[in-house]
Amino acid sequence: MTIFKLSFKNILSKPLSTGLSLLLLSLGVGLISLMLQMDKHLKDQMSANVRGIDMVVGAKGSPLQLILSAVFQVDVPTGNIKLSEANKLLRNRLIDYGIPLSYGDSYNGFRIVGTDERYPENFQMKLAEGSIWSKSMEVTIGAAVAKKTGLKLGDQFQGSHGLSDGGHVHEGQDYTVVGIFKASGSVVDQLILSNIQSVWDIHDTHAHEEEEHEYEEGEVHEHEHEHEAYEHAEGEGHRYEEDNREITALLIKFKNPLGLVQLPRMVNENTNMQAALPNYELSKLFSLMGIATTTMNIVAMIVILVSGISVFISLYLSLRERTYEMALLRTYGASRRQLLAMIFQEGLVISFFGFVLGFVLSRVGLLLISVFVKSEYHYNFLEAGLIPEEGILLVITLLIGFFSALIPAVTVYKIDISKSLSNA
Amino acid sequence: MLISRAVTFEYDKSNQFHFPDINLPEGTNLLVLGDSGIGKTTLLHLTAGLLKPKSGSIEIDRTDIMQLEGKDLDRFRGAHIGIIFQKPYFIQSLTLRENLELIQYLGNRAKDGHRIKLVLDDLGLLGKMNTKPQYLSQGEQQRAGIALAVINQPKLILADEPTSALDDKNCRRVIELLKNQTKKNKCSLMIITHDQRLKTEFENSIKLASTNQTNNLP
Repeated sequence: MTIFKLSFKNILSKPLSTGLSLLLLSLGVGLISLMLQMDKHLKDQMSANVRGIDMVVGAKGSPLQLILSAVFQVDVPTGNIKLSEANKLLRNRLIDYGIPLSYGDSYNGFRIVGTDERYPENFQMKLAEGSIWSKSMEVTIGAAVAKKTGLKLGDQFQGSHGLSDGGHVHEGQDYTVVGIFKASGSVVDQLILSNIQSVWDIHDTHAHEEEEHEYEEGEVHEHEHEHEAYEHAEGEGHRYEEDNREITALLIKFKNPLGLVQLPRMVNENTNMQAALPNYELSKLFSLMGIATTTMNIVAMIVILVSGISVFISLYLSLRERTYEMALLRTYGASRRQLLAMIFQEGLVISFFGFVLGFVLSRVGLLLISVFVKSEYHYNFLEAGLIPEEGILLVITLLIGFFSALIPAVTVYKIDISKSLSNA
Repeated sequence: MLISRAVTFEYDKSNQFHFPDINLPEGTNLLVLGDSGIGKTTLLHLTAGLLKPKSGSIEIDRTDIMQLEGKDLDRFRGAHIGIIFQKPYFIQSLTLRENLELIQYLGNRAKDGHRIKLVLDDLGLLGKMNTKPQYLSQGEQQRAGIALAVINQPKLILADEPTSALDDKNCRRVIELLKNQTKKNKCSLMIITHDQRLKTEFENSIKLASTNQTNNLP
């Protein structure tokens, strides 16, 4: 039986007050740790999706909405822009390249996005099987899409109009799965990618259908061939150029940092389009989120402080009951230092286990959120290692344990053995 | 074993004590009798090094305890002196066995389960080894208090009013146990009490008289 073991026995001998202290501590620590993890994951994931995209050009409207719809594929688009105008912009010498996006259809809630090969390249997507689409109506799907829908290579499906389930189904026009990407953690996991031509074809035929109220199978193919011929004829630079063609958005990479200064203003003032900077919009979004997380953190910090007070009260009260015990320990040979060590150990042990419990609590919470959110927003929270901020949280928790033991420890240090024994 | 010379102590100017010299050879017993308020407990605390005398010298086992400070004094006390209190107290979160183990640890003794069983068996407490002391009966607690004092085989055992709350039968029993234990453990025993019943039980006794106390109050 050592002083160290004695402090454990002391803690265990008052399960109620120890339990209360642990409960409060672990709640506070758990909340803060959970907030830290969520914050980190959201920021990491969002920043990963912004990689390589300096500017987004789309129809006029809310810049945040444009970023959310074009980069994160979570909001509805602001509208369409004319392909001719987009191509005119791409000739600017400050622009390295622009990736066109055209979307508006979905399958089982997953968006069908028309684009070109540079889009998956930008996110360093690798193929798990099959290949990238090579002609109209061929699609390459993200890992999450494949998992959720069960689509396999060679499978065919029909897209529906709109970005949620239940839209008008484009009957008779089947997409064919030609490739499946490996999971990357980026937004592409949740997308069905095709070339832009597919999106145009679908809606062209759709228009025909509405005009003529009848449908001929041959028409699509003819159309397709026409376009292929057209593309070959036109060559590399102006592949999509056609006066009445529209796209939804353009993801732009600058050649030169000067673009950041000149281009957004130029686009917003001189064209019918809107330019939004994802990094700027994101930091705005983060600062909005920041208010919420800061509030939560303050609440959790208060909970931790209250738990510190609870540890203090529990130590202090038990000491008042145990003054005689302390004097007794001194008469049996315990030094002042040993008694001090015992009191601090009691405070620190409670706060340490409070932290450990809180840590476990936060991971359980993370797991629950992950299970819930993954199906809703396609975000994965499962990589949950210890992050540096949690190290700081541990230090803070231990400090609170230390300070809550400080006054009781001073009391013990000052105990007058003779008086305590005579007064008992 | 215990030699004290011209020990004086004062709580304040109006409350001063002059104690008679004590000479307690190894293996002997001494009864210190005196009425309440005469400084009995003060003498015990002085002898145990819990209080510092104003003047004089106290020597235990050829060590002048007035030369010891802080940690060394705590160590010395834990290793050489056992104290029996009027009302026995224990570490409440520990069982009787754990209490004894802790005292062995604090007295710088190796953990010795055999010794613990031996002492408890002698005192008829072997069956209560894993009980927390506050759940023992009063008689058992009294005996457990003796176990706490003798477990480290100290050279000197100090007992403060060990019998004042007991009836005649239990009084005789406790004194018997104390005498036995001190003889077995080869230590000296000093009992401080106002209990006149003990007078006949011990050969050596000194009496603290009120003349030893200077009271300057008008």
